[in-house]
Amino acid sequence: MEWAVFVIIASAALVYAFMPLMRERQVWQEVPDSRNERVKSLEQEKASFLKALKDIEFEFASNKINNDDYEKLRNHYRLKVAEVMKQLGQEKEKQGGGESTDG
Amino acid sequence: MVNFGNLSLVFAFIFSLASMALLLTGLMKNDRRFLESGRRSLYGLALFATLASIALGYLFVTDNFQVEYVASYSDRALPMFYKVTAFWAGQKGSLLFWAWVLSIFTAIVVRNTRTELNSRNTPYIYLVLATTLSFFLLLLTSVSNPFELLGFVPRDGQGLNPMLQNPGMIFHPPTLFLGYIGFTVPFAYAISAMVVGRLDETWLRKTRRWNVLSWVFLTIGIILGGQWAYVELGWGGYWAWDPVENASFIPWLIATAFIHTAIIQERRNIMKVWNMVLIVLTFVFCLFGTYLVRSGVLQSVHDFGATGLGGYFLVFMTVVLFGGIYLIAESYNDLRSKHTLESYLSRESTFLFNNVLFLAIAFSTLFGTIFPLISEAVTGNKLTVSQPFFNQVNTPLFLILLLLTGICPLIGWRKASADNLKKNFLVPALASLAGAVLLFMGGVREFYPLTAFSLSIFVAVTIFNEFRGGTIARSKLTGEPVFTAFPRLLYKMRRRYGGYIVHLGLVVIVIGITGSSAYKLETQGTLYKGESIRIGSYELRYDDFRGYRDRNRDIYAATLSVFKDGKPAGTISPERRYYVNAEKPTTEVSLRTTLIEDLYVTMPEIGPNREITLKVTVNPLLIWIWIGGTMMVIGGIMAILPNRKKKGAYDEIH
Repeated sequence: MEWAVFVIIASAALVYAFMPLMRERQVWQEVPDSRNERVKSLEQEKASFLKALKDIEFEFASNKINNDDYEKLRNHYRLKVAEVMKQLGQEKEKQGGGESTDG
Repeated sequence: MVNFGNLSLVFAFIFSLASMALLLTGLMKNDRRFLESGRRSLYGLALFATLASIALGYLFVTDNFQVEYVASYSDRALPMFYKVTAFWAGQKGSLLFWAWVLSIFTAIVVRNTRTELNSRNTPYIYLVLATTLSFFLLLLTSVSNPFELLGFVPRDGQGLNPMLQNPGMIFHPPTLFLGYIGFTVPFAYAISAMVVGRLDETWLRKTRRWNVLSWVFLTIGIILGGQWAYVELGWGGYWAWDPVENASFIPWLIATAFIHTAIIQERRNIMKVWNMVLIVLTFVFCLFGTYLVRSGVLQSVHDFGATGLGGYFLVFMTVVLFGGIYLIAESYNDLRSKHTLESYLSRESTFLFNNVLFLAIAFSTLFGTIFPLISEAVTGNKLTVSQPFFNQVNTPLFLILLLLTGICPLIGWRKASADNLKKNFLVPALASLAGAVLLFMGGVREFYPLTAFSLSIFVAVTIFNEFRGGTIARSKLTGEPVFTAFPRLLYKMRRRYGGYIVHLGLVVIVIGITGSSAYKLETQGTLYKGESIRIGSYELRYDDFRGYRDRNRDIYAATLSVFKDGKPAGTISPERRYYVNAEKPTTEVSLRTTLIEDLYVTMPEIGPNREITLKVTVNPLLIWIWIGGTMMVIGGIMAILPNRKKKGAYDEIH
C-alpha cells in the first residue's frame, strides 16, 4: 500500500515537472527590452526623489532641519524630480507615447 | 513508513539536482522549456521534503524505535506533545526541518515569481535556492539520514533529554531555524542580482519582508532561548547559558546591521557593496549557527570530525563566502555608487557607525564563542573565555550603540541642521542627566549600571519625542487633529515607527539586563522543615515536602512560604525530577515574578531526612528582558505590515 501510494505520487510529480520538455522549443528572452528597463529605472529614481522631498518636508515639520537647509534641499530635489520626469517623458515618447504608469 | 520517508528524501534530493541541471541547461541553451521544468521541479522537491517530514513525524508518534533517530530522542513514556517536538531535538531532524522549511520557502518564491520567468534574475534565484537545498539533502541522504535503521528493534527508546522537555522546545528551535532559513531568500536574490548585473535596489525591495521577517524569527528564537535557559538550565548568566546561543546572536547582529543599511540603499542608492557583503555574511553565519547548534563541536574540537558533518559544512560555507566575495569583487565597479552622503551630520552617518559597532560585537562574540576550538587546535588545551571576556569587550560597545540609538532619531535624513540638533538634543540630555543624578542619589553608583540606565532614559525620551513630534508634524501637514494624527502616523509610517518600537524594546531589554546582572542577590542554604532562609527583603520558610508520579517522571517538591518585608507573599515550590530513562535528576525552578524582581529558587539537593538545599536568587527587573523582546518583535512585524490601497499624495509616499 505504502509503495503504491508512493509510486502514484512520484509518477504524478515526475509528469508534472518534466511535461514542459515535451513541448516545442521556446526561446527564452534572456535580454530584456532595454527601453523598458530604462523606464523602470527612471520611475524608481523618480519615486526615490519624491520620497526624499516628503522626508524633507517631514523633517522640517519635526524641527530637524532649519529653514535655510529646508529650502536648499527642497529646491535640489524638486530640480531632480523635474529632470527625471523630463527624461521619463522623452523615454516614453520614444516608445510610442504609451500611457503613464506612474502614480 | 521508513521506506516511504527514505524514498521521499531521495526523491527530494533527485528533484533538487534535476532542478539545478534543468535550470543550467535552460540558461545555456536559452530554452524556456528547461527553465519551466526546473521551476516545476522545485515544487516537486517541496512535495517530497514535506512527505519525508510527515514520515519522520509519524515514526516518532508511533514509537518506531528501530529507527535510530527515533530511538535516540524518544521513548514510550514521553508525552505525545514532546514526541512531535523531538523531531528537531537532534541534528538529523534539525537538518530535515531546515530542508523542509527551505523547500516550502522556495515554493513560495517560485509561486510569487511565476510570471517572472522571463526576467534575467529569476532562474538564478531558483538556482541558488536549489543548490542550497541540494546541499542539505545531500547530507540527509548520505551522512545524516534520519531514517537510518538499527540492526535490532529496541524495546524502548533512550528518551528525550529532560532539559528539552519544556514548552520552549516547541517554539525556540523552529523559530531560530525559520530565521536562519529565511535569510536564504535575500541571499539568493543578492547573488542573482550580481550574476546578471542588475544591481539597483530591486533585489532589496523584493526581499525586504523576507529580511525583516527572518530577523523577527531570529529575535523570537533568541528571546525564547534565553527564557528557556532561565527556567530550565538554571540561568548561567548572560553569555554563559549555552555557547550555541551565541551562534544565533552573531547572524542576528549582522542581519540587524544589514536591515539598517538596506534602508540607506533603498533611499539613497548608496552602500551597495556593503549590503552585498552583509547579506553574504548573514547567510554564512546562519549556516554556521545551524551547524554549531546540534553538532556538539563546542564541547570538543574532535567532535567536528566525529559528527561527520564538519567537513561538508566547512566546504559549503567556504564556497558561499568566497563565491560571494568573488561576485562582489567582479561587480565592484557597478556596485560603487555615484551618489555620496550630503552631510556627515545625517542619519545615514549614524547608520554607518552603528554598522561598525554591530560588526565589532558580532566578531568579538564569534571569537569568544569559538575560542575553545582555536585554543585546542593550537595548544592542545581547551581554554574558554566566558562572561568576563564578553562583558569587557561587548558592554562598552553596546553602550555606544545604545547612545547612537538615541542620537539617530534626533538627526534627519540627508542633512541635519546643527542648531536644530542642539535644540532637539537638549530635552533628552537634560532628562538623562536628571535621571543620572536621581539614580546616583538613590544608590546606583557603579559606572556601567549608571551609564546604562542614564543612556536608557536618553534613548527613551528621544523616542517619545519622536512620537510626539511626528504626530504634531503630521497634524500640521495634513490638518488632522492630534488624536487621529497619532494612530494614522503609526500606520502610515509604520516602517519608521515600527523601527522606533524595536529601539524602545532594546532600551527595555538593557534595563532588564543591567538590573538583573548588577543588582542580583544570591544565597544558598540547607533547611529542615520549619526553618527559614533570608535574602534581601524576602524570607522563605520550609513548610512541606511531597513526592508523586507524573507521566514519565517522579517529582519531589518542597513547599515554602514566602514573606516579603515580613508580610505573607504566597508560596513557591521548587522541584527535583527523576525522569524515566534519564541518568541524572533535574531541578525545576520555582519563580515568583513581579515587574520589580524575580525570586528564583532551585533545589539542588534533597537529604535523607528530607532536609533540602536551596539556591535562592533575586533578579531585579529581569521580566523587562522578555517584555522588551516582545516589543522588538511587535515593532518588527509592524514594520512589514502590507500596504492597503494608497490614498492621498502625502500617504502615498509614507
